[in-house]
Amino acid sequence: MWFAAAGALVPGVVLCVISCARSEREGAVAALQTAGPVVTCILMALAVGFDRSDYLSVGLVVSALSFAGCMAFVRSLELQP
Amino acid sequence: MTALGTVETVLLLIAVVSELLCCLGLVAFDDVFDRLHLMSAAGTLGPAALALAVVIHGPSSARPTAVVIVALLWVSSPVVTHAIASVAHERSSKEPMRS
Repeated sequence: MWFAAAGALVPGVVLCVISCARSEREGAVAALQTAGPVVTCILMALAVGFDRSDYLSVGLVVSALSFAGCMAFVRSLELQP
Repeated sequence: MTALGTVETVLLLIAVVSELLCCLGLVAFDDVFDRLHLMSAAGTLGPAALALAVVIHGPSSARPTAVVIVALLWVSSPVVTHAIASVAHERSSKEPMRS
């Protein structure tokens, strides 16, 4: 069931990539930030599915880096004229 | 299936459906402020339901990490939402008015 949940969430990442490619810059950053929790959920589901709780650290790192990356993109948008 | 198994299945369904609906909404809506609503929803409901399922079903060593992940997402999502909204508002106010 956990693998099915992880597989069902993969089209969400594809939709975020499509939205990121189609929209303007602020909308693209919003799509990028939306992909972060989706990927985190996929990694959490895979970690429980494989019964390896150590793999949850990857989800933790992804959620932290997603936040930092999006703040960097927002800062670069602020600096653009 | 036990009662806890049923609860776990329902929580997984809530997580998957809410995340997919938010991602579909990103493609459907064009306005950046509409997308920000969906972005904040994707960072709160789905991960929380999945982490609750991990707490119910997962190994005991996975529970603290799952709770920390959700706490991090709950703290970081409003910050990013506010930052993107601020930039989008600033940039839209700089654009010339359409007649």
